[in-house]
Amino acid sequence: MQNIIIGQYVPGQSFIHKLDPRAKLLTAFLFVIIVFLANNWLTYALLGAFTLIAVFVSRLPLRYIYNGLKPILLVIILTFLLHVFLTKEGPLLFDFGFLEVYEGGVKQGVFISLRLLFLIMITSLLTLTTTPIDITVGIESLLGPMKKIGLPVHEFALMMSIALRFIPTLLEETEKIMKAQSARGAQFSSGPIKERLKSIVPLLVPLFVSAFKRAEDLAMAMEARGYRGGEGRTSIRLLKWSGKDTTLFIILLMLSVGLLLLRS
Amino acid sequence: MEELISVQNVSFRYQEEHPYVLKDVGLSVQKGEWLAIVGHNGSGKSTLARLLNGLLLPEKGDVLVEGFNSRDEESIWEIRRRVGIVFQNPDNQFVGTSVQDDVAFGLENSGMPREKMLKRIAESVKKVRMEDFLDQEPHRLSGGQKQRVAIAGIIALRPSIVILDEATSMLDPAGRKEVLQTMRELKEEEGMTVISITHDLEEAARADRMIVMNAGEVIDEGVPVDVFEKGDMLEKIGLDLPFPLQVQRALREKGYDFSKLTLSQEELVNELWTLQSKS
Repeated sequence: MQNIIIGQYVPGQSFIHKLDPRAKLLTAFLFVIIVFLANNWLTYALLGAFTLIAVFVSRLPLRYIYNGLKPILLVIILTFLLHVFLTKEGPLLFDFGFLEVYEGGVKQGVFISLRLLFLIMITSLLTLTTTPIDITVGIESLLGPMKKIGLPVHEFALMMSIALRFIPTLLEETEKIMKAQSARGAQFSSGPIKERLKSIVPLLVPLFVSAFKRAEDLAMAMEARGYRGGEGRTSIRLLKWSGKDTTLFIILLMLSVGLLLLRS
Repeated sequence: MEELISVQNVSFRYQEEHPYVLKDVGLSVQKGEWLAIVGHNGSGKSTLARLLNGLLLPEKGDVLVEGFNSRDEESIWEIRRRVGIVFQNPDNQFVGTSVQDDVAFGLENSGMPREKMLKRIAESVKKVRMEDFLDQEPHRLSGGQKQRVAIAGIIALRPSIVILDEATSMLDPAGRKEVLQTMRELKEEEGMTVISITHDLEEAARADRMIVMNAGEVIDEGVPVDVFEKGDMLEKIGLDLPFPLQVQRALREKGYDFSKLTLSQEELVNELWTLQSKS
């Protein structure tokens, strides 16, 4: 329980770790858009180079990237196969009688799979190199202007950070309740699925009751410490946009221009 | 002596039709004292704490903190800045994701510029000896450490009064000791006024003054030694007398004479081994 890591953050000192979370959020967001600009081998190579360099610069062990990809791997393979067999364009490559594979299909399959691959890699890079709380602060700052149109940005960010703060506490509590229920003969890890699902109920009820109690206490404590909403509030967490962040932005801009020029 | 808090004929109940939780309570808190408010569960002592910093408002009577009346909407924030509360559950009052964030919470609320905040945070974590834990997450801290962080978060706001609302009741003996020790140092060195709300009479025995509450009323008030003379009354309202006191009471029944009750174990030992030579 002591070593629990919230989110996927892997501590490090790389260039990417040190970037302003806002720069990383904007990059990931823009990347998601410009990925759709690529439509030939050259543009995909460009995106691939950007992604691989980013992964390399982050100095993260590759298994973390792979772990991020694992759940989505099946989707990628499925997309690839669907495109290979269903797109009928260009010269015929193979003919299995009942199935025909065209060159256009293979190309489309590779492209779409790569697109997914790049998207997942860049977005996992964001969550792997940024603490959840930094992401929250970044989002709050980026959405700051939306306060004017009445979007509760501060409240949202506060909710996020409190949720993050209480994840380990509630996990610990779950473990405690599980032990208490096991001591009374409950079984969580064996028996048919239906029984196991049923045994979750006596776990969730006390957990919810205590979560509500905690929420009430916390609200009281926050009020006692002078909390009265986001207005006039300052923040201890400082976001600093530095040269590195501008550099990243220029690189991204160049990448976009390159994609626009090279796409067919 | 300067009066910091004055509670005048306060009655309070959570809902109409419900019985009163506090009945015509009056008390005053002097600058620089350690006041213990003791009582059994449901005696209204925690409700009283919440009235003292404007979390609850009295139905009848007034609560004045350094001249600010908690009934005034304008002065409520002044009152909350002056009166800090450390609550019972160490986990449920830890707002920040790290020690630094949590200590900063009250300062952020007051709109303090960041530079000044950093200075205040450094100062106050040092006073509670948590300066090496600034970046720690709450689930890596012990209960006692979390309560000390809560104290740091409160003293960073430079309040005049700190209320410990059963703040040590969920801690192990070591944690209890470290929290009380921290508060005592703050009182000695900074002249902080402390109100400790507790059902632990051992804790109350070390206060400058104590108030005994039962069923929403103040039933006794005075320096601990005098209050403990009425041990029967304390036991009757469901409080456990500290061990040294129990020994002395038992010996008194057997005819041994203690002219003056002693509250600490050490004093009792001294008293006991000189007992024979005196008589």
